[in-house]
Formats: sequence, C-alpha cells, structure tokens
Amino acid sequence: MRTRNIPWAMLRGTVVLLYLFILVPIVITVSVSFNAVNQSKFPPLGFSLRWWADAMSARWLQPLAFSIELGLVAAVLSMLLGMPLAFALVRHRFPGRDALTTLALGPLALPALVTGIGLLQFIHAAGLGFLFGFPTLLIGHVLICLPFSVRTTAISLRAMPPNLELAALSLGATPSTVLREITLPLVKSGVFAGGVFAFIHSFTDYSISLFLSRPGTQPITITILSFLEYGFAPTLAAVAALTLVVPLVLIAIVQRVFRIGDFLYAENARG
Amino acid sequence: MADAAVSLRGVRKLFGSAAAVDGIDLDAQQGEFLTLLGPSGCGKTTTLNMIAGFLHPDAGSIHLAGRKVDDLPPFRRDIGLVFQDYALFPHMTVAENVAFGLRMRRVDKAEIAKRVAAALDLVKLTGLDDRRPLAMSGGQRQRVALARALVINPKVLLLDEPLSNLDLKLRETMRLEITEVQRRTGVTTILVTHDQGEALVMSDRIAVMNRGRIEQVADARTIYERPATRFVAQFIGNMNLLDVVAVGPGGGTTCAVRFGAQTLTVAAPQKLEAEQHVLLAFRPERSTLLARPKDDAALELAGTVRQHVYLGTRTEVHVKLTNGASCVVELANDRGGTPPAIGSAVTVRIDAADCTAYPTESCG
Amino acid sequence: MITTSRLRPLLLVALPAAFLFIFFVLPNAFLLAASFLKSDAQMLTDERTLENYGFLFGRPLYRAALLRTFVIGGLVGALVVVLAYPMAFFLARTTSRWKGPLIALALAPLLASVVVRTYGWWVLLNREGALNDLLRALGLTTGPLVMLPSVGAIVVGLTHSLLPFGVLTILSALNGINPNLERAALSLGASRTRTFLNVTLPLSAGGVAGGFLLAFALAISAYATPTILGGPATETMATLIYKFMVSLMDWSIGSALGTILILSSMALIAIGTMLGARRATV
Repeated sequence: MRTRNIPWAMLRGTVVLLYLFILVPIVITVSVSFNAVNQSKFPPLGFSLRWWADAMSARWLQPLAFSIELGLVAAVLSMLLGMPLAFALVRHRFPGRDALTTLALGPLALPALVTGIGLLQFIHAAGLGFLFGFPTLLIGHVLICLPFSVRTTAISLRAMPPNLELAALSLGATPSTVLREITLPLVKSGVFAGGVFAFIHSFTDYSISLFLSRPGTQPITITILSFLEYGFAPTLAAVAALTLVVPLVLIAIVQRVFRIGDFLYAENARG
Repeated sequence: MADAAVSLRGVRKLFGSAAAVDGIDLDAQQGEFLTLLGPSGCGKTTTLNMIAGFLHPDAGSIHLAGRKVDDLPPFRRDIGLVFQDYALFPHMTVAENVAFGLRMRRVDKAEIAKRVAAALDLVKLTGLDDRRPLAMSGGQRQRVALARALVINPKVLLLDEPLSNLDLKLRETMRLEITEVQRRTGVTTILVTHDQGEALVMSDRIAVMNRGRIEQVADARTIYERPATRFVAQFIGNMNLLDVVAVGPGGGTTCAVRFGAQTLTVAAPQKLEAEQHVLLAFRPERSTLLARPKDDAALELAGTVRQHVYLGTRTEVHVKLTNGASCVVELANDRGGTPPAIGSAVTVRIDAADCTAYPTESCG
Repeated sequence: MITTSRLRPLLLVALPAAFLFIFFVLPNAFLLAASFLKSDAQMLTDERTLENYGFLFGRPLYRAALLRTFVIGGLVGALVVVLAYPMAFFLARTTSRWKGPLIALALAPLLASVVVRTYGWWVLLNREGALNDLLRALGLTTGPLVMLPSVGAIVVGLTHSLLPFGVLTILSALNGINPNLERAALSLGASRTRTFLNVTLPLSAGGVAGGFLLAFALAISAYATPTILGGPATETMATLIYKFMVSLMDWSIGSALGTILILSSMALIAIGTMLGARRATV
C-alpha cells in the first residue's frame, strides 16, 4: 500500500544510521575484549581469550553472582509487594488512591541516586545501622523495582475483561475462588514479565547501589565502575560483555516459557 | 398464587445524586421470558446488575423465587448470566467453561460430564468440548456462554445484550434459537436490550424503561398497538405525531380531540386537560392516501407528496401537510401499485380507532 | 463494580504503602530536612541554615557545575527527541515483517547497564581509541584529537543511553494517533509532507515533550556517564554529590544537591503535565 517514495527511502537511511549509533558502542565493547594486546584497541589487535579467562576469576564472578542474587530477591519481593498494590489500584476506588498511584511510581520518577542518599542518611539517623550492607541494598533495589511490578501487574489486570470475574461470581465462585481460578491464571504471564523487567532493572542499575553498597555486597556494575578509575584494560570489556549474557539468556527463557496464546488473548479481548 | 420467580419492589439505585433506577416494581412469573427494553442510560443494565447481585439497591428489595436476596452475594443467588462480550474464560476449554458452575457447586465428576454434554447438546455444540473459546466464532461463543449459564439450572437466566456483538443474519437466527432453548428448559429469563426488534420477537412480556422508570409492561402486541405513554409510542416502531387540541377534559380511556374543523374521539391512556394542545399519534402503516377527502368519521389531512422512500416490501411516502406539519404514510408494494407522484396533492386518512392522544409533555 | 467491603483495599495496600512510606517518603523528607541543617566536623547538627544552598549558588565553581548539568540535560533531551523521532516514526509506520524484531533491537540497549554502554564510548573516543585510529588512517589528523574528557562526550554518551526511552515515548504517542486522520488529510489534498507537518507532528507533540523531559530528568541525575567520559573540569550535580557524600563526607551539601535534583525532576514532571504529556499512571 505504501508508495516507496523518496522521503521514505531517506527515513530508512537515517534509521539504519541510528541503529548503528545504538549498537556500535556495544559491538565495540564486546570486540575489544578479544584483543591480543593489553590495550582497548578497536578493531582488536590479534585475537585472544586471555581477558575472558581473567574475567572468569572470582574477583569478577563474585560480584556478578551477587548481582544476580540481589536482582532475583529484589524482583520477587517487589512482585509480592507490587501485586496486591496493583490489584487495589485497578480494582478498587478508595480515598488516597491517586496519591498512592503517584507514590508507587515515585521511585521511577525521582532520581534513584538521590533516593540512595536519602535512604543512607535516613537509616543512619534512625539508628538502623545494623541494616547497612545487604539489607539496605535490597531495600533500595526493591524500591526501584516496585514501579515495574505494579505497572505490569496493573496492565495485565486491565487487559482482562472485568466481566470474566463477574461471570465466575454469577456461576457460584466465591471471591477467593475467582482470584485463584480466574484472575491469577490470566495475569500470571504479565506478572512474570513484570518480574523479569524488575530483575533486569535491578541487574543493570548502578544509581541506587552507588551509595548503598559496601565491600562484599557490591553489584557488578559498581565493581566495574570502581575499576574504571584504575584503567581500562580489556578484562573490563570482557566483564562488561559477560554482564550482557545474563539479561539475554533471561529474555530467551521468557520467550520459551510464555505461550503465544497468552499474548493473543489480550489482543482478542480488545478486538 | 405462587411466588413470582423474580420480584422487584420499589428498587432504587443512585449513582452520585442521580437515580439510575428510580423506584421500580417488576414481577417475572415462573418460566416467563421478560425483556427490559430501553435506550442506553435508561437503567436496564443497572436493574440487571442488581438482580445478579453485582450492585446493591439503595432502596427497595429483590426476591428470587420468594426468597429475599438483598443480602446474598452474587455467588449465592443461583443465577445464570450471559454477558454481551460472553466473558468466556480464555484459559479453559469449552467443556471446562461449561463445567465451571457445576464444579463450584461441588457436583461429582461423572454427573458434571453428563450435564456438560447435555448442555452442549442443547445449544448444538456437541463434540466441541476441547476447543478454546478464542478459536470459535462469535455465534459459537454465544452458545457456549448460554450453555454455561443454563447448565447450573439457575433460578433465573439473565441475558445482558447477548446478541449485540453478532452480525445481522446471525442475530436473527440466535433470537429464535435462544427463544427455543428457553421454551424447552422453561427457565425464567430476563433479557436486557435496546433493540426493539429483539424484544418484540423474543419476549412474553416487555418492560419499556426510560430514565430509571418503567413506562409500560405488556406483551409485544399491546406495547406496539396500545403504547401507554408517548415515550413508548415513539420508542417502538415509527410513529407520526400531530399537534391537536383536546376538546374536553378526558383520558384514562378516550378523549375527543379537534384538528382544524374535524373532531374525533380517540384513545387516550393518560389524563388530558380541556382546550390544551395534545399530541395525536398514529402509525404510518395504519394510514392511507386518498386522491380527495371522503369527509366521514376518519381523520383526514390535506397535503403534498414530498418524497418516496423505497423499502422493498413497502414504500414510505413523506407528506407535507397544509398546516406545515409533516407525516409519513407507509404503503405496501403491491403488484402494479405506484404511490402518488411527488408534488401531487393528496389526503392522508387515518381511522379514529388507530389514533391515540398523549399529553404534549413527555412524562417521566 | 463488585460490592465489597471497604476493608479489602486497605488490607491490600497496607504493606506496600508502609514500605513506600518508610523507605521512600521518609528518606526523601529526611534529605530535604538535612539540606537545611549545618554540617560540622562531618556530622549533621541541629542548627538550621540556608548556608548549604548559599555555598552551592555562591561559588563560581559549583554554580558552573549546576549550570553545566542543566545545559547537558537540555542538549541531551533535544538530541534524544531529534534522533528518536525518525526512529519511532519508522517503527510505527513500517509494514516490514521485521517490525517486531526491529522494535526489540531499538530497545535492546536497555538490557545493558549504562556503565557497560558508556564504556564502549570510552573505547571509541579516548586518545588511543578507535576514532583516533580511524582519523589517522584516513590521514585527516596527524596527532590524536583529545575528545575525552569533555562535555561533548558526556552529551553523546547520555544521548546514546537515553535514546531507547525517547523511542518508547514517541512510539506510543504515534501509535495512539488514529490512522484515519492521516488518510483524511491525504484525501483532502495535503501532500505527505504537509500531512506529517500539519497532522502527525502536532498529534505526537505530547510524546515529543514527554521524551524530552524524561531524557532531561534522567540526564541531570546521571552519574556513570559524566564519571567515565568527563573529568574534574566537567563536574555535574551527580558527580558533585558523590564527591561531597563520599570523599568529603559533607552530608549537608550532598543533601542540598540531592534536593535540587529532586525539585528539578518534580518541576520537569509538572511541566510535562502542563504540556499535555500523558500523565504517568499504573
């Protein structure tokens, strides 16, 4: 239907350049890690896997494992907090609902870096110093994950026609049965997706961790950031490339777990 | 007398300060097919939701089979409900959808299988047990929804605009099929619709609703031929309205009215004041066209033909009357007959028996 | 629609609301309060003061850093919108069967940490980096061009990391336009260019404003990019916060900087709402 006119061809050319702009730094980082020399040369001089061997040492794998662990716990906790919140915001009208909506999205709207300092000072001032380390970091990560959990749950709740729940009630299902047999099965893929987003957000974050992490409880992004000050060896490129693997694998798993029908359902309900 | 299957007494529902349902009384007898008909916003869906238990009336009470249900949640009311969008559970098969209500009632497995099969049989979906609702056509989904609502042997079957998502041909088939299923099961049914054709075809009785009130409850023929109010007269079918003057106070049964020099006695279901302007209503298909007046007891209106609208079986002739008003006459398209040419002078003639007078102010 | 008790929403929100209140509202309120307290010997005192703000706005060094931060934010916001628009427009209108994967590819950088993505720019732009090698090989320069540290590099790096947000915002605005409006304009005799300028662009203006403000807000609070691609001469608010909080242990000044960032973000959100950018909702 579209006429292949000149402006469209120009647009396509521009978009190709933009994709290059988007992808080049990532491609460079990955290829630099294969340098044979101890320099971050691009294109790489020679080929070697020695920087990858370096990257596989405990010094890097330990924070990487910690980031994964932190992301998982934060994602699960944020879903546990976010689901009931989303449910109340979508399905109920109550005083303070608008304020609570704003609050739920707050950690995304205000700079995480500043939330980090606030949390640091608050915990210090409240005499909760024993929480420093993993607990504080976890609280921070749950905070920044919460908007994702609430939002994705709310979206899948809204995508579901409310009549389904009314139909189940009319057929004799009690509200708790409706929740178990109708609502949860229908929102579970959205909830799962929300969990994945939350994990990736936590895994790639550095802002909230900047002030909240301590030696021993350092996510991989902070470790990389602190090593950048000492120099930019290709090892760091290998580590950086390694961190790309985690979200990619996760996305691949999600593609397998999700049934296409779960997505189609939402399309059909609208059309 | 046995208790009505559904009984509403003084039921009111406010949304904010506006009354969506403004004190209605309504009874549906056992096995009856009752339709709530009205324009959108007239309160019919709100009424349905109160019977189903999704909304709580602000005043009045609702009885199902003689039992007060005001404090019963929807899942204890034993109702079958068919939604406009069918609301089939997309993560369950057809059989699982139909079995859902039985499972909630802890019916044993063998019995469930038997009743599900019978219900699918009833709606002509035998053998489609394992299909997913999303893989079905609109008409099939409609049947699944009907089977799911009926299989639990509800005290009352509630149908909420069940046919409005179907295309015209299918809608006409489903009207008859639903009516047939209802006759066979004998389940008391309340249909909510804005489609008068649907109401006329399917119902034993129709309750016409307007602005939260019931204007008239009667069988289809009475509703069409003896509308109790001007609203019902105008809402159902086409109606000509003519400004006339009531001769004397009257109403309740009949009243004399004057149009120009002619005076005639017509039906008047509502009270009319003497020497007040009132509206005279008559159906286009009950009026005829004459070349010249006969000057007898019928109402005769002089005018000029303005437009023909060909409708296949009939032709509408739009006539501009000499007093400036206009009216429509509907003529059957008999073999050989042609309506008078546009521009020709004609006389529109209506028997006094086919006229009804209403107060000018629409009541309610 | 379902009649339920008033208690139910309360039960659902109690725990998450308490969590947000204790660990988000209170800390931010505390930060605001701390920004008005005097710091003495690296400890917060009870003494109330406006000195912290006076210090930041009074010294040319810090005033310049504040100004620099907002200039960077504005430039990044503008660049993000300018680059994201053609991309979003292409993705909204393409009939290619690769549409889905292309959208995924445009957003894929979000899977990588900003730290990792910015590192790529360092490799490209540094003294011994790929771009200098390329320029030398082409004979365009003799000595290395010094591109780092610089504000320009920070702007490029931030534009790169925030581009997916711009694409997302503008794409959703474009997808919200009824396609019949463009068909109507074309049928009324408007050329494709006129249709774009008079129909599509004004209707997507909310998305453009939203994308600009989002990129602006994220840019002014970014720490990693100015740290990696910048230096002592290109301090921004975020790097100053780190300096005051960690190196100098002056929490009052750090809090004042944080408060300025929070208030700026809130102001940007408010401007966005006024300009008709869609209000954030769950």
